[in-house]
Amino acid sequence: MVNSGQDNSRAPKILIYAITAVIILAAAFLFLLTGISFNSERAGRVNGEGPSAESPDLRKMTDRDIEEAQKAAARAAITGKPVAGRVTQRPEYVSEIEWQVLRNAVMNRPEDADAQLAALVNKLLFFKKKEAWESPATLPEQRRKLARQMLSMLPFMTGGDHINPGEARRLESSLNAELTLVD
Amino acid sequence: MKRYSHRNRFMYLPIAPVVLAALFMASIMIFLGCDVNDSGSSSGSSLLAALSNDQETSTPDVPAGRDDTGFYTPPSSLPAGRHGDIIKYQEAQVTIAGAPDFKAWNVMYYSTDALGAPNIVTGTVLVPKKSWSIFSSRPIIAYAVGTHGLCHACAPSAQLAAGTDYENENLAQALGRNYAVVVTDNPGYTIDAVPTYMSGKAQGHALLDIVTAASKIPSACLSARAKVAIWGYSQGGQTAAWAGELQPGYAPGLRLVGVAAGGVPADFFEVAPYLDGKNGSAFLLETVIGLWSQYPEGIPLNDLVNAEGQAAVNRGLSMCVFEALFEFMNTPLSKYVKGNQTLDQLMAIPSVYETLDAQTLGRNPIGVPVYLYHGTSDEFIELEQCLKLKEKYCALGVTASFTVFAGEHITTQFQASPYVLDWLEDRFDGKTAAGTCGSANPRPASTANAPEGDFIVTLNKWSLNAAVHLKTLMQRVTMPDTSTFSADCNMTTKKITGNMSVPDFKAPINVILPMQVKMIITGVGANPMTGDVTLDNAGNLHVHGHMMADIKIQSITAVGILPIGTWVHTKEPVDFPIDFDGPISSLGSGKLTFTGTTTFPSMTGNVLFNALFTTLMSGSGQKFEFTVSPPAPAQW
Repeated sequence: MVNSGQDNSRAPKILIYAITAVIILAAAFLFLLTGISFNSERAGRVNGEGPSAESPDLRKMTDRDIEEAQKAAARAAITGKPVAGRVTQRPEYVSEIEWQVLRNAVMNRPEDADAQLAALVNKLLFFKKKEAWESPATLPEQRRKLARQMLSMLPFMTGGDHINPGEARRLESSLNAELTLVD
Repeated sequence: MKRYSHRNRFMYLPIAPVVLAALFMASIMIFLGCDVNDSGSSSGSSLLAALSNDQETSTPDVPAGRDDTGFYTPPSSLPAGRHGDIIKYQEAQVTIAGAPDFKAWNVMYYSTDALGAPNIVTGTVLVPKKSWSIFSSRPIIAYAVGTHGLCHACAPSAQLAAGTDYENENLAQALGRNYAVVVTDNPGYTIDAVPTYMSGKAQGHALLDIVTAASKIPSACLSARAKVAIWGYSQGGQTAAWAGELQPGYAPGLRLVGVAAGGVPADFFEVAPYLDGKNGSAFLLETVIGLWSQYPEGIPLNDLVNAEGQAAVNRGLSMCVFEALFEFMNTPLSKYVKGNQTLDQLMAIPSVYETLDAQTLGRNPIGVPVYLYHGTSDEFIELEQCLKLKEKYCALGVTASFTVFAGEHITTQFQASPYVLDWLEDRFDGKTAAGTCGSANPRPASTANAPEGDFIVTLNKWSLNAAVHLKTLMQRVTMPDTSTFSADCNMTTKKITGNMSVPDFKAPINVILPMQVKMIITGVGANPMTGDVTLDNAGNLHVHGHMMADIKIQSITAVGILPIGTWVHTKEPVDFPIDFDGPISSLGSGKLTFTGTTTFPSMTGNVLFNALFTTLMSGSGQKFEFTVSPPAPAQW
């Protein structure tokens, strides 16, 4: 009677252990599943938006590669045109490094990232044109073209507070003087 | 018998809830305690008075004064009374920026002048609306003001009503700790009276008596057995120390727990020469007038002054402190005296000598701990004579400590406030005060600018808490904690020159991955900051200038893809406009904040990346915030 009674009480205990084990296994499975999906998501974000996957070659660029890329973009800026609307492709006058930097710079403002990226691209173009215009190596004809282009971009630069009004006035005066002098 | 008993039990049953309800209501009333409120009445005050042993004095039947500008006129028929009794009082409208909600009363009360004669003094009582603990009475700070000026419009109560009192910052902090604060105007601001400025005993009496008077305003809910601490600076430091010395004999019923006295003119024979013909000469002229008012025989003003002196006295009587400070700056007393007698000659006149000698502190012990403090660059009140005061108190067995602040006279008043209030809080909490009579620290030495010539307020390597918000990157760059700001504010020429020192620091810039850049911000030229500085008659400081700085950045981590070591810097200096308009107290209280927007010019230095960094950094609308706060004090 005593033994029989012990057997009777053992049966439900085994059942409880079994159910507990199933729950633990299920929880572990779910945890692993969630963990994998979380890691996948993180990996996807890095791959999709970070520079390492999109531009894996950037880290391998030598100093000379970088220099050449920057110089090529600077040359392209002399004739480059401002962008409008959503910028989906890297303009030629924006180097790969600069493109990554600008895209990352607007990540803090998702609400108007497209407009900001376009503004930054145009701002970069303006300053590259300005550097070229100020360079003694630039030919007179190119300087004239650059002066005209920059004059046309000045309203954008002042309107966006990219350049202060005083500096804009001084620059406008210098650009006009150059055009008057040469023409 | 059994039935009868039952009936009795039922008879008493309804009484139980009534008793319980009564007890509950009593508990509520006790819990509410005696709080000031908008109606001016006190909730539960009578119950507290009945239940609490703390409320020892009964409230006399004193008239509330009429709510008009004639408050400073004593009634034609004065009620009988002794010092500390109220003559009249009225609710007052007082504006203190930064203070919690509080109620205010103007009070006119009896006191005693320096010669022992009864006098009439006015003042202000400030009580926070926030409840105090039910287990004790709200502590009271007897606040002794610094020089306000001899003109009646300069009376602290008038300045408080106008919201223009230059000591508002200190009062706000005291009220912020939920203490009641009582502020005597000092004797001489009633109609037709002349302030007895710098008459130590009279001021001490007036300060002690306003505490007693305040406890007699029924709706102020202040107990005559509340713990009381005394706090004052400059003239107020003198008042505080005198009140401390006088209290055991004059107001033994006050539960005094501590005295904090800063910038104390303790020995007039040393203070006067430090003022005469120097930056602070206005205070000496006002002292002569004030002591003459109290001791007409000791200071025979009419016999001593020449015509120019008489005119100066009249002007002095019509001015508040800051106007007088500049009006009489660097003018020797001899200019106003017949025969152009020097200060030494004047002080040698026996009656003058006796009068000045009667103001000397440190001859009587103070029965509670004393916190003395002083600015090492004090240009008005000499440091050394105050160090000697500490030694005198120590010799008399007083538990005294001395704290020195790296500031001049005006700034120190506000630099010290948080430290003073912490110390007072410890006294209210019953903690044992640690004196510094046995301090082994070196004796502080004055670092004051020359007290004659231009009046220059120097800030030497004060803490600079600075941040710039980069507009394009939407990033806040905070400069290192060890950044400092130094400036000379020449109040005579109204010019400020200064510099900032920002150690090279690293800042994360989120342009690629979080990229570390090294930033160097350096002022341009010998005086990167230049501008105008003025102190107006209401005690407001005005600073308008520019800080010119170069900004240099270098990428220093390999996390980003920009080449390590790329240096760029601003093509021209960044012009940070420096603008401040606010109370002079901001200079010492750590609230001297310059905020604004500036334009970052183009970046240059690396032909390959100039355009990129210019794109990211330059442009207008870059916000900045610079806050200047004083260095920590030292103990002696």
